[in-house]
Amino acid sequence: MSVDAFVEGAQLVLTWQALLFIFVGVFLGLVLGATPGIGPVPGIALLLPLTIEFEPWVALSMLFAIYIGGMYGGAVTAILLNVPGTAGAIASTFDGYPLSLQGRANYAIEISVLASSFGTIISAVVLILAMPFLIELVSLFGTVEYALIAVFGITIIPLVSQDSVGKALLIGAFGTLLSTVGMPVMTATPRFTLGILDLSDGVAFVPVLLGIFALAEMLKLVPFEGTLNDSASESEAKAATDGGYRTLSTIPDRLADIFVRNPLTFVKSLSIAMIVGLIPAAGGAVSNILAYALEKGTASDSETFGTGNIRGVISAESANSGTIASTLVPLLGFGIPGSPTAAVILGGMLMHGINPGPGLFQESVHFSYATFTAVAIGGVFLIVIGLLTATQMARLTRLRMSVIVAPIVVLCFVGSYALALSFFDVAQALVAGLVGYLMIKYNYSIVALIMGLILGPIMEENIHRALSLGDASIFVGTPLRIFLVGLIVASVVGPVAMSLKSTLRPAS
Amino acid sequence: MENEEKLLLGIIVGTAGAMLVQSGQYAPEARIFPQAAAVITLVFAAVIIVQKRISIDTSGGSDLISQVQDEAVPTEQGGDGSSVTDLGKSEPGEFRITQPTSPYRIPVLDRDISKRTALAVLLSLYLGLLWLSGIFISSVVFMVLYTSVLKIRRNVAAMLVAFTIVTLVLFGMWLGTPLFRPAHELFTLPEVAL
Repeated sequence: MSVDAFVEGAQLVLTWQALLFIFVGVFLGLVLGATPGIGPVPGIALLLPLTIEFEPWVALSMLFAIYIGGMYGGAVTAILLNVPGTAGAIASTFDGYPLSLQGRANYAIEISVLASSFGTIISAVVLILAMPFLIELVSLFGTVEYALIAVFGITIIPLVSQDSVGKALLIGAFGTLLSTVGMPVMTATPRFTLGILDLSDGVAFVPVLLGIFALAEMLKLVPFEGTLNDSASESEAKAATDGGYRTLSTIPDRLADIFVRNPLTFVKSLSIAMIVGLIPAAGGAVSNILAYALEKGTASDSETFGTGNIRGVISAESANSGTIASTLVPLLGFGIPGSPTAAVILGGMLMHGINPGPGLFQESVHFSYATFTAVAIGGVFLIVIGLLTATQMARLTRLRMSVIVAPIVVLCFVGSYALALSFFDVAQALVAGLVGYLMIKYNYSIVALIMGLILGPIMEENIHRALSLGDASIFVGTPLRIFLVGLIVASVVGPVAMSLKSTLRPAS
Repeated sequence: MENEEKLLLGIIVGTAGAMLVQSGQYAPEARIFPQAAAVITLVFAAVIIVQKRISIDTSGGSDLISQVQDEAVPTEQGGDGSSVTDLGKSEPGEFRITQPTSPYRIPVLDRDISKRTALAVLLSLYLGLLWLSGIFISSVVFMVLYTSVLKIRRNVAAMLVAFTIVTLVLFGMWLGTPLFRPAHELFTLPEVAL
């Protein structure tokens, strides 16, 4: 580890402003994660415009902190009400909610806060220590490998999302196509702008994020009466949302539950999380399910899972929060987000003039240290904020869904407008919202669209450069390239083969 | 295939087709990539349409997460034996939300439309008003219309309007966002310095 670079990076986030906004960010993230229909992805997108005036590292530290708080916030409603606030908290319902029904909600909440916090902190520290190795690894990737990684970022989506192969690849290709609007790298003539000046810089990324993640979600929620709390019985909801305050005296015992009585559960789940986080577009939504499945599958008392086994809560929560730092590795190293939330953070980085990729990763390594230091600090704050406020956060589920919609819509419009004072940007947000709603309704991946928009320019530029170095055989010129091509082929063929197998199984 | 899905695929195919045709006018090095992306988009759109026609759903087998989920999620049974808790894949249009929905009755026409359609119309109106009168007036008018259409209680509606005004003032003061600047030059509204 380069100590100088680490110190330089740590200094970026160890200012009082950055620390204050990390604290605020974790709290906001908890609120957003626990609020039905919002979650960390739309939440960060909504707050992006407000950070324009911040110093870049104050803004980015706050965005990382919202990510941390939001990832945990989803677990609060999962444990207390059986309603996962985010996709990353689905597995937390399996054993967290049964524990709540047994009158042990505080126990489950305390364990989940500590598993999440330490999952976040330890994964960030591991990545800080692994930085020299990661830099070496990224240095193996030249133009050709970079192009192949970008293609893999699209083809992997069907495997890591809940979408069909055809639909995910269709939307990934469509997003890639839309990314070609504007000025190409290789010529000075703008493409597909229809004479509209606002399009010469391409599709407005942040307004599209606001539209597709926030507006579309509001169109989804608006017709529903009542609150998410209505899904629990009156007594359950009251018990959950009036959970009361806890004392710190139980914390050592809770830590012993995780690190002394069930250390393997934590280590296995965190390892899975850190690997899953490195896969483009996967993130906590995948890792929490995989870690839970592994824990249950390898347990001698697997029949107790689903009935309130605390190992289920530890595995799910350490796995979803453990991805946070590692989803930022492909983002920093290649400009390829490891999760939908990381995609929105990429929007924030670009907005603040930080263009992540191999160049930045190797030449400005202190940025990476600053990132992981901010994540670790956010994990520490989560312990305090989570333990003090988690149960009270469940009250947010008493908000009527129709009441949540209007302020989010206004924030989307005002935020889209404020970025460039462009009416056309707001129009793009609205179109993205309407199309995004249709995509959500019919299970077309909105993540694939965003990945296409992000990866399109990377693919085009690097394929163009690679082909200027030789013919198409250059893509299989080294063992690493053959390996990457193999990954691409496997990520396309694998799901198709499984689909065919599944389709044919009933007939046979 | 439902009409809304046809609309979605129509937008995708129409856009890809138009971009494919238009790409011919650019230099060879600038058109190859968009042409490839457009062709791949059209091919997959065709695959989806054919799949729909022959009713082969390829989603189930490739969905590793749902497979794990299906094994892991205990499904509660309702009193009539029906499933009341299903965290598996959402059905189109249901979104895993079990709350009831209600339509919006258009006052003069006396016709029912879904609240989703009503919001889509309000959003279009919001955009039009933003063009005409700037972000402040359009946002306040949208909020008033929204609370009226959704029949939000008066005290909550007042809070939402107050939230809107505070948000706008915050943007005006913090980011210097011009709140009364229209997107046209037909007339000018007085600029209010914050």
